[in-house]
Amino acid sequence: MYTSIIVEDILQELIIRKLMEHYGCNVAAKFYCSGGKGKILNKLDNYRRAAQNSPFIVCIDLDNSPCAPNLIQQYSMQGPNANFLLRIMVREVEAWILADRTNSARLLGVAAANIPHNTEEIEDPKEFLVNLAKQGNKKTVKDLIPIGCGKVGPGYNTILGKFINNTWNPDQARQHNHSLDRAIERIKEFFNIN
Amino acid sequence: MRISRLKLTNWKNFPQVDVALEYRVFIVGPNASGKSNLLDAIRFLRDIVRQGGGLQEAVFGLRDGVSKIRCVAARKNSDISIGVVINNEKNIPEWEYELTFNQTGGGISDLRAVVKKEFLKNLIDEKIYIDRQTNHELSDYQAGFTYIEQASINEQFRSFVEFLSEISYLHLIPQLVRDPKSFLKTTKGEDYFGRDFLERIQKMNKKTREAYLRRITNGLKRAIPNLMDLQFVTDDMGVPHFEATFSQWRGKRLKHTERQFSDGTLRLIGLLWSLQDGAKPILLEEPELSLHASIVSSLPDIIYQLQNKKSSKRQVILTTHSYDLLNNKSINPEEILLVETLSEGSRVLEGAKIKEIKNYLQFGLPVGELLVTKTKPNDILLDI
Repeated sequence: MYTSIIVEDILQELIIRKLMEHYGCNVAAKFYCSGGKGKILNKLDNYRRAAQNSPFIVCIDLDNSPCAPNLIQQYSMQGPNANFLLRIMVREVEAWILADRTNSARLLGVAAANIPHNTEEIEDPKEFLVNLAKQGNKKTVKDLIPIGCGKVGPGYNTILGKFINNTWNPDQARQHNHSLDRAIERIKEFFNIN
Repeated sequence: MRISRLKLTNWKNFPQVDVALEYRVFIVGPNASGKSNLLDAIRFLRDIVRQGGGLQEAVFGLRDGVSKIRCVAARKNSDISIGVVINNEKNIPEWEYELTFNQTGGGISDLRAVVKKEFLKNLIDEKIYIDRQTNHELSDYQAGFTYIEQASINEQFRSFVEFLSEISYLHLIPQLVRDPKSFLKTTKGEDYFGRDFLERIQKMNKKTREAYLRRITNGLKRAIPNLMDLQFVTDDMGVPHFEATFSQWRGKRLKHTERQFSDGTLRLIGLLWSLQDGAKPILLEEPELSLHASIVSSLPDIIYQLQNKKSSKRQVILTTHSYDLLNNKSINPEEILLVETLSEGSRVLEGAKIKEIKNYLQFGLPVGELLVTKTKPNDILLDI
């Protein structure tokens, strides 16, 4: 039996994989990229019910949605045998990435002081990250920058994906983002119980 | 080097096209809207300049004549024109070329394609290499040849001609690759279709071939779980083959040649291979065919990674129907071309100029659902 992990996109998948690897969650898991938060929210009830038969983790980002804890409370099953875990990134996966301030700053070619100590405060993490790349002096990350009127550049998934896999340090990052810190604890709990 | 602008007049189903092209281009549109015809315009220029090519060959040998090329919506006997702007390795516009042609003959005399106008300018030194209007030329015979196809003339703009001649087109047909008899069929030069794909690989420098194989094997292993190794071998008859080793139950190993590969495996190998081979633009038709959805959604990233390997960044222009592919968030609106069917032919819209696309991407929404919805046919096909 494997755990189904529902995520919105490839970067969320890579970050969850990294967390599981880093914290020793050696379980069989299958990742499903949903192509959008709307789709996931629509099916949350279904996932929760399906979790009666096999474990599910659902991960979404907050964006402009209301408070994270309320959403989680609404949907998570309580109790030690909870098979369903909903984790919400505040506010987006980029905030989790940037929370490893030292390594992110190095990647983007800026001083770490440019990244807030609490990355949950960042209004628009994608835009923030892209702006740092623009300011920075690293040619290798210029493809993070959009060509024209888009949000992110053509190298976005590739460059950040590589960073998550090779450099990003969850132990550092969890000190600068509460939703990440809590998610790590809950994920560790989830796999030890199951 | 890349094609940064494409202009067409009366080309197949397009009365008028004038679009900017990036290093990745995703051409989207409903079936039969003319996506492949856009790629074909680029291939047309390539067919003119390559060995054994030329205007007549491109029009009559490889296509069905001027009347079939000319847009049906155009007024009778209108000229057809194709224009491109080419950027150099530093991404600065270097060449501007435009060809206008039509035909003569009919009735008792043979049909012949004729150049009406031809223009080539180097945008860096501003030198005009070709500025031709054939009403001034002495004979119709000379008008049947473009200047870019004539070796005696094109020496002066060698780099432009070389660029065009090395454009590749991949439309891998797995059945043809597997079929041993297709080995003897005539090939289409730079196009990868079937058996010629393996022949091209066989002709490569051994070291380069092995480097490519190693690189793509790693990528393939992630897509094909029990693949252990991929080699390129030649059998006793000198026929080239792929040989893959798969791990089986109980530690046994299974060797397969391309004859036993699935469609998906062949298309994936073809895709990964062709993306590494060469530095000039590559045209791809629906790369998503036969591939698993998770690979398809990573295709834009795979393309980004492979196009950036060389010192000269390589342009990839593809047509697609795939929701999964288009949902990749690294796609920029400038990389999208939307083909729309109108009552009088089709038109091409640049993604960056479409409000809904910009809107979606600004808010981090994947454009797959938008584009595939926008391009759905209006009427339901089946009415049971």
